[in-house]
Amino acid sequence: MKEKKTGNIRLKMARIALGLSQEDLALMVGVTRQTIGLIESDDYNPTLKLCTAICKATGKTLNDLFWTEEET
Amino acid sequence: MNMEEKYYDERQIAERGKAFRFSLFTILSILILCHFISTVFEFKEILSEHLFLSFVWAGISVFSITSILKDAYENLINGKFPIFFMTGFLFLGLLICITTPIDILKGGGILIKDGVLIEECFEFFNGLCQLSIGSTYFIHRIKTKR
Repeated sequence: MKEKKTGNIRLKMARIALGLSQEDLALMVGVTRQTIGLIESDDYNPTLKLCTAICKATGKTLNDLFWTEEET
Repeated sequence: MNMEEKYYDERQIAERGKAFRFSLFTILSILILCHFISTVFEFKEILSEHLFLSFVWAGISVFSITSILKDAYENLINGKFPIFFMTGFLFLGLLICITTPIDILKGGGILIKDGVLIEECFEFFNGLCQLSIGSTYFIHRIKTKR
């Protein structure tokens, strides 16, 4: 069954809370703005390296931003 | 963070790989199709020397269009230099796509003879490839910059 995409709202919220634009975060982690946009919309699955870079940039943990609970 | 790290985007590299795979698959498909037509329908003229150039253009256009649509190259949209290239592609493609049918029409009904039609058709195909690269680039650029 096809999963419904909800987007990574936690990443978006963490970024907005820091007052960062997608461009700013992209520059901080060394990727393009489009990549951040795609991660936020759940259209791109980043590698662990990029996940940790985003976590360091936003001051969050991997659990805070990327861990998903199984639906029961 | 050093400069090398700054310009390393894992998604873009993955997209370039995909684009390359698509272009290779397209070239192989055209090669198989042309050989199939040549063998089954005994239409040997299709395997002319112009076919090679069309392979190249088909591969380039598939690679370019996929790369443009997936933002696989950072400077392609944000840089100013690619505009000149793409404008060249657009106008060259337009020119070929307009002039080639005129040439075919001037030639009348004996076009298949001596492989003239094949040559013109491949030329038209190449023009179409260039036109599609240029138009995709500008449409995507307008959409992205909006």
